[in-house]
Amino acid sequence: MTDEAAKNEKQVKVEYLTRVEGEGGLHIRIDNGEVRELKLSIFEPPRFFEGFLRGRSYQEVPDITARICGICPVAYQMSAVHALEAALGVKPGPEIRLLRRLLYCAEWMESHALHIYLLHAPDFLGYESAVSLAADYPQEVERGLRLKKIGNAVLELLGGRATHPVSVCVGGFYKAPRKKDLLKLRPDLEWGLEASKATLRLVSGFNFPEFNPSYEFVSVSHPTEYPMNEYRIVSSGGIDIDPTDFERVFLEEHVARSTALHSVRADTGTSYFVGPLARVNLNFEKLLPQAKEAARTCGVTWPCTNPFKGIIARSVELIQAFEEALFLVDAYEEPERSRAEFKVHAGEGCAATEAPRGVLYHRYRLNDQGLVEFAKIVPPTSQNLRRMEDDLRLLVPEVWQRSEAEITHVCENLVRSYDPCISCSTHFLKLSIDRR
Amino acid sequence: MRLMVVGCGNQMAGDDRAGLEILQRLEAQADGDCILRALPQSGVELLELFREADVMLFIDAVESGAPAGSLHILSLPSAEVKPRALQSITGHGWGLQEALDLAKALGRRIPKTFLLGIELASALPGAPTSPGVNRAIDRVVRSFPMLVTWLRNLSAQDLPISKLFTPGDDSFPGTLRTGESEIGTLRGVEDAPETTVKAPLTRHA
Repeated sequence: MTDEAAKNEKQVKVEYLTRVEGEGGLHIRIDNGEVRELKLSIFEPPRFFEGFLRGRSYQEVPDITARICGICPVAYQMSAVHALEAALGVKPGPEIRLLRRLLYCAEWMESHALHIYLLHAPDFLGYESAVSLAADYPQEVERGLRLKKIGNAVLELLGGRATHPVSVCVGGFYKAPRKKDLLKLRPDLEWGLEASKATLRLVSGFNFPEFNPSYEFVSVSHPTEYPMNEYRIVSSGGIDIDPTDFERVFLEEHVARSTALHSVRADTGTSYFVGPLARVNLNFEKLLPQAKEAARTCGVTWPCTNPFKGIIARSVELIQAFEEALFLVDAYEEPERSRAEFKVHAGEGCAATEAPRGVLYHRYRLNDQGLVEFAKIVPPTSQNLRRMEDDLRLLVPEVWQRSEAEITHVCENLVRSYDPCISCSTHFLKLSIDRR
Repeated sequence: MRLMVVGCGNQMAGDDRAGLEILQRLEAQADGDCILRALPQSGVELLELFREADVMLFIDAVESGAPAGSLHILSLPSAEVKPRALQSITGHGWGLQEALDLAKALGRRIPKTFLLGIELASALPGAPTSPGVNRAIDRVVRSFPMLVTWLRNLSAQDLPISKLFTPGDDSFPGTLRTGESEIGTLRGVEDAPETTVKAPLTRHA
């Protein structure tokens, strides 16, 4: 190989992608600025939870699926109970609906705060880790930890505990909170609202790489509310479907180079994008007033197509979560019953709700004893994997002439901007970039 | 000295539930002077627990290659024996070591941390607890008052600790030497009731 050829061929290898949940691997081979090989290798055991659920009672499903992830258990519980309620014809009352939104607000609070301050902010502030960031920015990190703690406190009150809540069930909750206990959360929620605005001001000042691919954003959509538990699924490419059409429109493919499943549009085979950036772009007008005003004045033009600015979208959603939580706490009236009554029968149902990282789809089929005969779970991180690869293919040619360390850093930053919850699909990531 | 006992693990995964099972049985006894907490999964939440305790004992399943049902007592963090629930991979990158490092970077108080590890046979989801681990759980619950006394009497000279009790070894939690004196072999309550120092347990909210 000549010296010139050697200079033009690069491989980048990152053994261990840090500050993401779980582990995964990326191998990139670059030849004269062109990406010859890109493998986002995720090593995943067989879809364990879907198999494990078969034969279990519908009552166990929320508790079992919550253990898929420690940072977004509520999302799994919400998608599970809504899908099971669709199968069983259960319609919980408005107070339950309110409590479920409040529960989801709490999960967004703790998940987004963790990601913004401890996982992604170090990239923009020039630190290797949150630990080194904390040494120089203790006030900011303490703010993030307190935001997360408040989210956990709300989870504990509504769900029985912060990690893997135990109160969620088909029809509602095993126990509904007292109004007076919810009102005790107000001072912390008010602090959190202001702290969220400070968070947006902080992240809006970061330097972001200029990178604006063309995306199809996908999210749940409700006629009047910022999306969480209902209603349809929409996209910036014109999709507007009931969740019952999810598997017709979106296809999971098994990729030979990885045991992970990649999601694409079934008709075009193209990737799509779920998560906070998709939600804000598609549902901007449904943000609550303070969140919307903050988003309008933060310096971003919406809709935003820069994935690195996902941290800004998450900060907007932090404001949204705290603003909505205050409203819900005030509006809450203790229900007569904490859960709707229903008869168990055979049925099949599905639902899509908005996990912190994006659309989370569940489908279940029950027999006449309420035992699960079939389960399908499509996490948001799985849906974003193909889109992550597509982004990396577009990004690498723009940065290939930089040093290996710089290429690695920007690739890791891009992956982290998706806030992948790799263990939701029990993934493993090790990044390797081969230069030739 | 505020002593916190943290039961860790996965309730649905065979022997991985050992730490949580022990905690539930200790809570049922409801007659002690240590703080009891359940921690199904590691995470940055550990920092909040650090505030509440001077000494923390994590009870968790481990997989070190020792015979199933063996009991480990050791200082944390440990390079030799890793508690399953406290590893960073299970906690979104935030395991015990990361939490301790962050607390230190923020200038927060850091408690002394120890592990009571129960060697598992299997952590298969949906599987029951194996017989050897069940017996280990019984041993721990029976001997718990002794263990609390042992922890409360530890001195800097006793650290770091690394003890292994195989299933056939009845001396758990073992002999404690403090300075020049030796508090004899501490046996379980059932074995030598007349010499047992009973440390009552109290559940804290």
